Amino acid sequence: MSGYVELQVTSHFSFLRGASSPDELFAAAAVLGYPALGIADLGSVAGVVRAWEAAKTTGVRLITGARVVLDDDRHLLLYPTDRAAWSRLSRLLTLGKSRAGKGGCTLGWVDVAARAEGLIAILLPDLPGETTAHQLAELHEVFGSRAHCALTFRRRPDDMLRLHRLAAQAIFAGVRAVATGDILYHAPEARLLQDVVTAIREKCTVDTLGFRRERHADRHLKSPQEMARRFASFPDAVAATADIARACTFDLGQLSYQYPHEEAVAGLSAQSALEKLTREAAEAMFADGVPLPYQAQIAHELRLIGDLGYAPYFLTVNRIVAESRRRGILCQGRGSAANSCVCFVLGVTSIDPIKHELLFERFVSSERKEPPDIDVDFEHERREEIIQWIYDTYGRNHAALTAVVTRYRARGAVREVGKALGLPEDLTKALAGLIWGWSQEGVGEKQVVQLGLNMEDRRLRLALDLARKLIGVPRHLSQHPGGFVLTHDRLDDLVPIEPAAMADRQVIEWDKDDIDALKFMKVDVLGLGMLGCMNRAFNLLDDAKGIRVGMADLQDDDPDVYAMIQKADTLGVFQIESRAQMSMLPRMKPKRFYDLVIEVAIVRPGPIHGDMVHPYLRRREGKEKPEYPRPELRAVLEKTLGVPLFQEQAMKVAIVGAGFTPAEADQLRRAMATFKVTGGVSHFFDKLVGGMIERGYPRDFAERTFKQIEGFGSYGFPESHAASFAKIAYASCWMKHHHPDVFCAALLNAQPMGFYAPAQVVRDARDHDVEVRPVCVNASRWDCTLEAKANAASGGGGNGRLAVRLGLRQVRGLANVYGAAIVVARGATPFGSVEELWRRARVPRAAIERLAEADAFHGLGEDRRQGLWKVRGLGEAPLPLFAAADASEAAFSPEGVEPTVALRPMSDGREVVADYRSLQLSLRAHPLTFLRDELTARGIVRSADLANIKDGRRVEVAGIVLIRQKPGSAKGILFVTVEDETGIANGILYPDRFEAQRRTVMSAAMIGLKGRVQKEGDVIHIICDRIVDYGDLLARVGQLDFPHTTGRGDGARHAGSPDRGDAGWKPNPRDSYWRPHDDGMDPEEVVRVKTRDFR
Amino acid sequence: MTAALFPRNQRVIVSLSHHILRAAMVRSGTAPVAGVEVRLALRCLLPHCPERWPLELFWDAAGQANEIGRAQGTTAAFNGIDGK
Repeated sequence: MSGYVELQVTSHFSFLRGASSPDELFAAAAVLGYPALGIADLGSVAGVVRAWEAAKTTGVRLITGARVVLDDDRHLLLYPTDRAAWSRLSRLLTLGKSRAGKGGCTLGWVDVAARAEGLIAILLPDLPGETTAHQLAELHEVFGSRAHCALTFRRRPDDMLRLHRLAAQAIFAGVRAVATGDILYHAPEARLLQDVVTAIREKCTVDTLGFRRERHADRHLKSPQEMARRFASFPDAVAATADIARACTFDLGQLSYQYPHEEAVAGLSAQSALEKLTREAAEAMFADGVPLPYQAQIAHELRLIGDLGYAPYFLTVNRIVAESRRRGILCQGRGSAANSCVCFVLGVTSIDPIKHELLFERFVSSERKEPPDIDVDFEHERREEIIQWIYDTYGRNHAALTAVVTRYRARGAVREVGKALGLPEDLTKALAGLIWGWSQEGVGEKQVVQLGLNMEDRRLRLALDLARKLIGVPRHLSQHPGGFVLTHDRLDDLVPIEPAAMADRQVIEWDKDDIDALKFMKVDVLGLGMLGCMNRAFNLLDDAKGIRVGMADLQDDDPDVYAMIQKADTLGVFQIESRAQMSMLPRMKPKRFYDLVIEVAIVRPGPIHGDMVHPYLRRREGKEKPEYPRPELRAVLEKTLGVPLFQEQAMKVAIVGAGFTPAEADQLRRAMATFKVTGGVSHFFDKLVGGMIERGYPRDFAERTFKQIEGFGSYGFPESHAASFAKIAYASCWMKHHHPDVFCAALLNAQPMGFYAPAQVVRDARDHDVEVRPVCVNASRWDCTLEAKANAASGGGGNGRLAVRLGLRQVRGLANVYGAAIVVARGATPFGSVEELWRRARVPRAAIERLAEADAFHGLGEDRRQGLWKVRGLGEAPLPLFAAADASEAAFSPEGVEPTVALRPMSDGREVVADYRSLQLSLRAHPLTFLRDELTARGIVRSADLANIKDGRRVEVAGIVLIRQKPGSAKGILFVTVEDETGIANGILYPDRFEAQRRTVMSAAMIGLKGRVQKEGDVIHIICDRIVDYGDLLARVGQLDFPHTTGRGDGARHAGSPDRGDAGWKPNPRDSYWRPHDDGMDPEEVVRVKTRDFR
Repeated sequence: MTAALFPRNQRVIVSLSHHILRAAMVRSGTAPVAGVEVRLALRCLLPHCPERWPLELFWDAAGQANEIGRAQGTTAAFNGIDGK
């Protein structure tokens, strides 16, 4: 045994430098027989927790460190020997990051010297010489016996001579030499990928990489024996590696984490304060005395919380929620926290765990010894206020967001590798376009052949192969949406903190999984778009109709709302708006709140994989008898008719049916979640099935139950989470049913969110008799607003509904600041002309052009083309002379105003195209209206006609592609939704059909679905055989007018068109518009609807 | 339920029973509904239902203590009775 330990290893967490993951490096180290491995990423410790986990799995000890490059180009490896030294390293990196900003680390020698205690430093010298001598002397002076000089082969002429000279200089300076391998990847075959990541980093191709390439290609992990052989001339340098490894006793497990003290009530400990607050809140909730079950549950929870010391954590969450309420920000706890009665009475969650018989052990368990996880949703747009409040309250040294490691996905990997290998951009684009957005696989051979490419081409083959390897490689660190880590002591003692890309935010270097591994407590401050939407809706309702309601006022029991849900009229509402949900609703026919809870939970990969959906639906529809082999199981499963749908039920079945303890049941749930990785579920099978048989259950029932729970994995919802979401779903349904005008406006203002684009939201609102008015410079505010209808004296229409006025926010490319300036400048005096708006609002011409493109000047009598013409005549700013004259005259001088020019109006189709381009929707007509004659001639039916077509008939429906969805649980089936002028049609493509027509499906904007109609009650699908690309038809819309209708046939008596003799007849303006440009050559002709892909 | 095939007097009984069960199902979310009228309605439907288990399930669920389980059970049973 040579005793060599590799201390200079760069993992792929040195973004775009290392080419191997910590897992690969440690696996290779274990195979090669290393006792320990030092990971030192560049200016970062982002990968050390992954490495720590890999070390535990492989048995190779991790030596944690970092590599820093100082401002004088001095490279150092720093290894902390103990916990205190780790804190110093962490603070050093935090300092460097605060100077350099996101992704960088700027440090000087002085900074290192000030934090040198307990750190082992290894200088990575360039060439022997004066500079190195000086650096070695400084190193010795600061680090003493902990100073080292790395000897590393470079594979250059006179390499050995260079090493001897360096070793001599080191001895002269009193610094011990240490052998290192400068490892960038785990095995020789990863070298190609290393070159590619270097090319990506340097933004060039591998052919032009030149000297920017790594110095030599011998950078894989070699066996300790091989390293000892190579460094045979320097036995002490080899021995030094082992000595350093021995000296570095620091282990990440030593990071003792302390939660911040919370003094919620002066003079009371956190536990006593929590007990007091809970007691008071419970007494306030139950005016007639706290019922016994609640008292018992609260006492049980508080006891467990006290034993585990989690009281400060609960107080923190309570404090955050209280602050949010104080500011009027809607919030609601989600996830397993809703299993807690303490959280319920404190108002953190809104689901009654006693009524729903929820299992507290799913949330906190004495045996699990893992911190609880309370996730709270806040209004998406106001969450930043809460985030800043947390920073201010707990201090920036004690609070930071966790990181998210952004990794290459399939499309990005193909694009980047293609670029690095010098493939033409159109080729990489075509290849990337074939990949499903969320795919974890690269491009398949079949797809390449479909593009007409030659797979024999070495470079193409290499690109696809390397792209596959690049998938999953980290690109950079970004911030978690809301996972906060709070500490009592300084946070930068535990982990380096870096500024985030967003102002006033800072993130730590570790992600959620790392935090879990180290058992840190985390508070999730999440943003939920629908909560923001609901708050907007409540405010609009109050302002426009004087009705004041809140989430808490909605009682979950309005039969009219359920009637709407049963019809699957749920476009835009929370959770139950997706295709799968909508198709389930007419079968489920929800009648009460708990039905919604089930509806939310059932369309999930867990219940689908566990084959629970159909048994449940059959039982719900009264087609199958629910089975309860024993009465005690009935108590657990009767809520869901004998089918376990929730995680808690799976656990309770194990407890009641097989005699598990609650903590064991939770272990079972966790094992189920990870069984594919760890394979550690078989002993649970014996225990569960054996236990159930022992208690008198039939074997087949026990095995079926196990299979269902197994299928569940981590993909089922806890009941509490489903119930929390169902609350919001009901509230949004209530709003949509009773106030579709308010709901439409709020939803448009909360965009982007949900499954549907503004065009569908507006269309749905119009289907519900809501008048939607276009964007207008004299009526629109930034947000969509509600306006009284002209025909209603009392401020509402016949149905009490108001009209929705689209806001300036709908206008593509118009910045909020300019929109606001226009609204402020308008005040109570409407603009009289385009010029007036330009002068009064003082916004750039480009902003006014965006308004003209959106046809926002129609209120001034200017159509889109006329408006654009006027805008083009404006300057960037009013000329000072005219501005001064206008100011003194309080009117516009005629010299400053463009003379009026009458232009030929746009064709109707062109207007619609322009509407879509500017607003993503058109209130005029659907683009397919113009194509209907042609489509009918081709035998294509309308979406609305599908209801009258028999099941099983072959049809073709054409429309603009709205949504493509390929759920992971659907075994490769693609759901595609298209829209025509009468509504939407849903197509189903089985994997073979999808693969055969992947290109059309993935790239066409308008398609025809050819196939068989399949009807299940009110739900209609088309099982597609062929997909036809109608992109060419869609491109023609801009040239078309509304379809001409035939005359009445009595034209002589009733002239169908204006006549020279009619009153008010005016000749058309002279048509001087250049026709070819108008109709054929304008590249802006095409309707662009952004397709949304979901999984 | 193929009530149209029955003589009028039976149709009335079936319809009333149906009505009683529907009302009971709606109420079942808030209180036990295993009352005498429900029992009578179920008894009246017995000769007209090809399968007995939905009627038994309704009665069984109607008396359950857990309100969610009770409501779910009566709804499923009612759907079963309604479909037959």
